[in-house]
Amino acid sequence: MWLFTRFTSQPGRWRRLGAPVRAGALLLCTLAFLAAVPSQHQHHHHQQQHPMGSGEHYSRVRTSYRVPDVTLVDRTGATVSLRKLLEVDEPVLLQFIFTTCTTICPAMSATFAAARQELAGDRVRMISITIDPHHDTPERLQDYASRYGAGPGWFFLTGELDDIQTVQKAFDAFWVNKMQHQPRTYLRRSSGEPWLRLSGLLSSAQLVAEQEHQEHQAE
Amino acid sequence: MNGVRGRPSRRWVGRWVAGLTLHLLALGAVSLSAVAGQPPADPEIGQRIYRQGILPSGEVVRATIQGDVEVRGSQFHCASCHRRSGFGSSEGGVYVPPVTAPRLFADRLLDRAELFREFYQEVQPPSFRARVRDPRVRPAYGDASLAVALRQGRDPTGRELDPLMPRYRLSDEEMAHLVAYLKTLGAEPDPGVDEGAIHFATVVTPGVDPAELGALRAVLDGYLRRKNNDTRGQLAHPNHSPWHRDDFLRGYREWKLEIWQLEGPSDSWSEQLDTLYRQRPVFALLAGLGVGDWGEIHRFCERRELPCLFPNTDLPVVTSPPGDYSLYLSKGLSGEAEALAHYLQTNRTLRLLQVYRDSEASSRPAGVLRAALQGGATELVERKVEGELDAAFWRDLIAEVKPTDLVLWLGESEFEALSLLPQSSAGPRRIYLSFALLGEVPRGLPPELSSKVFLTYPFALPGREIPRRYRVRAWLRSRRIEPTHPRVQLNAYFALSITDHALLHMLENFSRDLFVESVEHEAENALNPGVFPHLSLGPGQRFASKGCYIVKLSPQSAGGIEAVSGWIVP
Repeated sequence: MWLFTRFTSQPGRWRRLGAPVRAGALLLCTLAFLAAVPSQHQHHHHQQQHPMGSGEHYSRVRTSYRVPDVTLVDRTGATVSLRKLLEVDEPVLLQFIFTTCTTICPAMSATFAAARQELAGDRVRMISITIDPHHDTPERLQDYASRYGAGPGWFFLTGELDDIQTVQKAFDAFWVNKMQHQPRTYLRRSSGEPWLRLSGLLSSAQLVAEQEHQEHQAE
Repeated sequence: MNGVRGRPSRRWVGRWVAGLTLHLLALGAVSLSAVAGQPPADPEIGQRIYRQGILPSGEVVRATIQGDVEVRGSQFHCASCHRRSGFGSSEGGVYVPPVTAPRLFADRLLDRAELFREFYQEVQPPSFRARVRDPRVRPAYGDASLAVALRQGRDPTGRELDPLMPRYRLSDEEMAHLVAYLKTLGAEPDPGVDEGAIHFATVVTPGVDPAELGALRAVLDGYLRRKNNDTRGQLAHPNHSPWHRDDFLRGYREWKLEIWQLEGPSDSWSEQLDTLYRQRPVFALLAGLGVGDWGEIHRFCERRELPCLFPNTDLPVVTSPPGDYSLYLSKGLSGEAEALAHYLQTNRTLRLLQVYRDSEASSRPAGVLRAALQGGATELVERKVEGELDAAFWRDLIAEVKPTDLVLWLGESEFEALSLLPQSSAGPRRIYLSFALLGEVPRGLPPELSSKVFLTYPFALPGREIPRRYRVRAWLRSRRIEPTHPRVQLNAYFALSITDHALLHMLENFSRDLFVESVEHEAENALNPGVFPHLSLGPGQRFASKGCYIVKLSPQSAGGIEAVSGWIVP
C-alpha cells in the first residue's frame, strides 16, 4: 500500500518507470491489496465490533469512593442503609439504571442477569440504583427486576431524589439529564477495598472475566 | 496527508465489499422468493414486531446483544431504541440511527443538520461525539440486506453494527412482515404542517372562567407573536443568520394556533373535536383548560394519534399503561389522593372518615384513596353526600363514626360547613382537604379548627422559588401580561417553550411520534417555570410532576402554609 500511494502521489516518477514495470507494479499492488483485504477486514471487524462509547470497548479505572450515609428503599419497599448494604466481605457489582431507559439500561441489566447465571456458584451482591427515583417506585423496580429474573442478592434501590443524587455524585455518576447518563459498572472485591469502574457496555463474558480476574488477584 | 492518501483505498474496500453484498443480495432474493408461497407480508404484523417484539405466533422475538447476552423482545424490540417514530435516540452515550423508510431505503449521505441535537445540544462523552462525526455513508438497504443487518448485524457496506444492536432470530416470514412495516415507517409527514405554517390548537372546555381564559390567551398570543417575528427575521436573511441556523431554515414554519372552545355535555365533545379537526387538521394540541373530566379529549387524541401537551386539568386520564399521545403536568386529584394514602399509611393506625360528593372531581380521588388504603392498617368509613351539609349533619356523622381523621373531597363552598364542625376534644384530630379542590388556602378559620386542617399540595412551596420562574415572569412583564392566573399562565409557557425546543431538534421531520419523544427528552432540561418543584419525563412517561406535599395551615409562613411532609412520590 505504501508503494502504491508513494508512486501515485508523484505522477512524474511513476511515468518514468516504463510500461512493463508499471504493469508489474500494478499487478503487485493489486495482489498486495487483495491480500490486505482479509487482514484489513479482520482488523476492521475487531475495531468496529466495539465502536467508541459502547460495545466491547470499555475503559477501566481503579479508584476509591466515599459511600455516603444515606437510606434508600429497595424493591420490596423496605428501607436500606447503603453503607450497611456495601459493608460485606463478598464482591459487589453496582450499576445506575432507570426503568424507562430505552437503550443502555436494558443492556446493562441483561448483562447483569447473564453474568449472574455464570457466577451462580460464587457469592456476589448485585446492586442496581435508579437515577429516576420520582418515577421508579419500588413497584416499578419490582416489575423491572422480574423482567430480568432477578432473585435475592440482586438489589434494586430507589429513594429521595436528593439522596439518590448524593450517591450518584459520590460515584462520579451524576448527569443533570438522566437521558445523558453513561453505562458504568462498579466492581469491588470486598468492603474497604477500592472500586474498579468499567465505563462502556460489556458482554457477559467480559463482566465475568473482570469479576474473576479481580477475585484471582485476592489469592 | 495520511488520511487523504488512505481514503481511496478505503473506498475500494467499500466497493469490493459492496460487490460482495450484491451477490449476497441476489442470494437473499432467491431465498425470499423461495417462500413466495406464504401469505403476503403484512405491515400490521410487522408493526407488532417493531413496537412490542411479538411475533405472529404470539411468542416474543429472541436476540443476542453484546456478543453473548441473550435477550427477549419484551426487553429489546426495535421501538425500545429506535423509538416508535423510527427516528432513533441518543440516550446513554449511544447513538441510535434513524430507521424510517426514507432513511433506510435511500443512500445514507452526510448532513450535519440531521445531527443537530447530537452535535450541539447534548452533554455527551467524547466517544459519542466521535461516533456522530464518523462519516458513515452507505447505499440504500434492500429487503435482503436489511435481513442481513437484522440477523447478523452487518450493514450494506459490510460494516459491523454496534454490538448493542440485537442480532434477531427471525424466520423469513417474520422478517418479511417486519420489512413491510419498515417500508411504511415515517414514510409520510403527519398532518397539521404545510409549506409555510405549522398548526396547533388549544382546547377549552365549557365552564372555564372567562378571566382565566383571557389570561391564558394573553400568554399564547404573546408567545406566538414573538416566535413568528423571530422566524420571519431568520427567513428574511438566508445565509446571514447567525452560526448554525442556516442549516435549519427548511424546518422553520409560522406557528398558527386556534382556540377550540367546546360546548354542551362532554359526550358531544368527541364529535365537536372531529369537526374542528376536519376543518383544520393540527399537528398537536398545546396547553388547554378543562373543568371536569379530560377523558373525552384524551380519547380523541389517542384515536387521532394527536399529541396533547400539558393541559390544565385536575382530572387527566390515569390509566396503566398511559396513553401514547397525552402528556400531562401531573396526575391531578388522583395523584393527590395517592400521595395522601402514602402519607396516612406511614406509622399510624387510623379510623378515617372520607366524605365526598357524586361529582367526578370528588368521587375520583375518593376512589383512588379507597383503593390505595385497601389491605392497610387504616380503617376507612365513607359517606357520599349531597345537598347542603349543615352543622347538625356533621355533628351526627362524627358522633356516629367517631373518626380519628377526616378526608373531605369537597370544594370551596364547603368552607362554612367545615367551620361549623364541633370543636370538642373528642372530635377528629386532623382534617385533610385538597388544595386543588379548594382553589386557595383557607383563611379566617377559627384557630382551634385551622390547627387541625391539612392540605394535599401538589405544587412548589411558596418561598422556594425556582430560578426560571423569574425569567418567565420577566418575560410576561415585558409583554405587559398581568400574571393574574400564574399557574395557568406559567404552565402554558412551559407547553409552548418545550414545543419550541422539540421542534428545533426535529428539523423538517414533522412526525408526531418524534415530537412526543423530543418533548420527553426536553422535559428533563431546565425549562420548569416553577409551578411544580420538579418536572421530568422519560421514554413513555406521561406525568411530568410526580409528587405532592402535605401541608398544614401556618398564617405566619409564606403563602400561609408549611410542609409537614417531604415531596411524596407515591
